[in-house]
Amino acid sequence: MTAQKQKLPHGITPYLFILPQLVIIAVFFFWPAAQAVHMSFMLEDPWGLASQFVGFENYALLFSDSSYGRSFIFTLVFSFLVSLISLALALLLAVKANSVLRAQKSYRVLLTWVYAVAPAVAGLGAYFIFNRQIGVLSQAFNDMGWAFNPETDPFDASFMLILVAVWKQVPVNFIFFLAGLQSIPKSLQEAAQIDCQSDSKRFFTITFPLLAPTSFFLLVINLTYAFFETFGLIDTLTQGRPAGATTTLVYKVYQDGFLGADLGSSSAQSVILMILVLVLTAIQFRFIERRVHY
Amino acid sequence: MSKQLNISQLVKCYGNNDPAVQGFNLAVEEGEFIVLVGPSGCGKSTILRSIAGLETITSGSISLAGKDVTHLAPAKRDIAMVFQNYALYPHMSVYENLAYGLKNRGYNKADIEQRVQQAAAMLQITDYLPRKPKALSGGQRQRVAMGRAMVREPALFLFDEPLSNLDAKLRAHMRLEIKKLQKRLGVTSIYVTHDQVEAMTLADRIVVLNGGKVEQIGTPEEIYHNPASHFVASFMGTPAMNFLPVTALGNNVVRLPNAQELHLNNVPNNEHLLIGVRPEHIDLHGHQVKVEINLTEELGASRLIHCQVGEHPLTVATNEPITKFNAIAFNQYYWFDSKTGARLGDSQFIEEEAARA
Ligand SMILES: Nc1ncnc2c1ncn2[C@@H]1O[C@H](COP(=O)(O)OP(=O)(O)OP(=O)(O)O)[C@@H](O)[C@H]1O
Ligand SMILES: [Mg+2]
Repeated sequence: MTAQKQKLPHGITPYLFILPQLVIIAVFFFWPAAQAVHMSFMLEDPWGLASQFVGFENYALLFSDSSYGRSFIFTLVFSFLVSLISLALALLLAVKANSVLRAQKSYRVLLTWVYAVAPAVAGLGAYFIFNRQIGVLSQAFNDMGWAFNPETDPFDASFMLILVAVWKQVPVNFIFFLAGLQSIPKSLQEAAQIDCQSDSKRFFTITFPLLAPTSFFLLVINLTYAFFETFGLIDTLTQGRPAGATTTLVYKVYQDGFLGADLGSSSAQSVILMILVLVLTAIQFRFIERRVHY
Repeated sequence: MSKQLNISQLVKCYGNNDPAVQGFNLAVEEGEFIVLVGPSGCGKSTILRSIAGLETITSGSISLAGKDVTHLAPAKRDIAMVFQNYALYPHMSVYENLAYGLKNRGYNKADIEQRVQQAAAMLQITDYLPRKPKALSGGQRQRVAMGRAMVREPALFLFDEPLSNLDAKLRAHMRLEIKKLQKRLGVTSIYVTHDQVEAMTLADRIVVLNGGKVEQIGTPEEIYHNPASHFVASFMGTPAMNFLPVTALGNNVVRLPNAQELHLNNVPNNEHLLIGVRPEHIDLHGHQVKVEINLTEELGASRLIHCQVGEHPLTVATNEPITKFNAIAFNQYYWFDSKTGARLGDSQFIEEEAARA
């Protein structure tokens, strides 16, 4: 992207404008982050009365803990699947909705209202739908001969979480994809129509590359969502059951720190998470962004 | 021999609206350059897009190179289109833009390379082949858009106001280039514009449209010297033709708006008579029609003198260094019915006049 620079004469005013934002970031991000880094090197007794510097011991313990490794792998697989499926599904729906001429607005509303549902509420809804005794979907799966049981079967539990997380995430992606599609000039599509007979080929050679910046942006958003914002879903649906098989890294931070009162380990996990996100974002912007912009 | 392009009874309605095009007929010879011209909203783009297959037509049929293409997809029609905003693929280099249509039609690499290089050389865009469209100027983009149409060597070129995004100087230059290129390639072309200078200079034949209907089809000379209707006469020609309402008094005598009575040739017998005189067909030395001079516009080589006949304005174009006169004569004139807009009288006479002029 070309940057256009314009110099305005200014004094202190612009800084005053960004000050509130900076204060908020400092109070709610930098300070807790510093706190977490500090605490990750300490061992605190369960009552929070005394603490002692232990160096990297918290980290060492984490890396030798097999449940942490499992959580790590689950998080990666879960985030990857949720992002990929919800992006693909949203793109498909957006392309279809964009080509519909009649009642396009109704489709748009139908496909976006889910966005307004809070994660915890979505989780609660899903809880009823998947409930073994009264759940409609549980019932349907059982009728199809699948002994669906998220309480004991890790696959079933993961399946349920992914399904709900995708359902929740599709609308955001849909809105962005639809906006992206509609910003492609009509004449460009028409030129392509003259140059290329096959609809699918045209999609992959013209439409999709033109949507690449949107897709990239959404990929970042979706990974972040799958990492962090699925907390509400997990908390209402599985609480990490069965046996920690659906515990994401974020949920484990919460479990170990707030339920297990192991603040040192929990802080160490937060720090690792922070580094992970930084690395991931850096990779995305360094290697992918350059390719997607035209 | 059948015509290269044959459009018969084309009707296009958008939704439930009045038809945007109402029964359009056109037969185009191979290699002919046709210009569609008319005011905004008269259906020029609609006709062009129907030929391209970008609009499904309500009724009628279109055949190209002896093949009925009415229901074919755009890519199957052997046409190429140049869009007003160029519609270059922003994520592809100029080379890829030119090659895209060929690749999708299964040409081999060497063939594509050869065609792209040839078109690029002809359009002088060889240096820009590796660039993306955003790194090109408007004129260069215009050339690339032309190139994309050329490489395919289609049976028909379609242009929808391809020059209207360029500044006046570049527009005049590109106009000439397009004309030369079209003659050299000999590809049948349909060109849409609302600029009548473009229409006059480019066309082998002009189609004047108004409200979805054809007003006249003819060579630029025919359109200019022998307009079929009030609309065509007023639309084509700058400065525009003058029109004065007159009353026929019989015996080839009419009463002008300034109450003057004048003897003219071939005065038709009509209640709503309108006389049309082009500004350049007025004789400043003929002492027949009394005028009052309002304003003179200096144009360098020539000047426009805005006068009045009674209450009605009359513009005179001249390159004589005269700025003062009080009576003029009409060298050449046309008759129209002011109610229906139809041309009246003997067009043969006018043609003879035109030949003499
Ligand atoms: N997609 C559409 N839906 C409904 N009406 C349309 C559509 N496209 C064009 N029209 C109508 O059809 C008529 C002809 O439009 P068209 O675009 O062919 O005009 P045009 O001669 O190309 O005008 P311009 O010189 O402004 O480009 C207009 O009245 C226009 O409002
Ligand atoms: Mg148009």
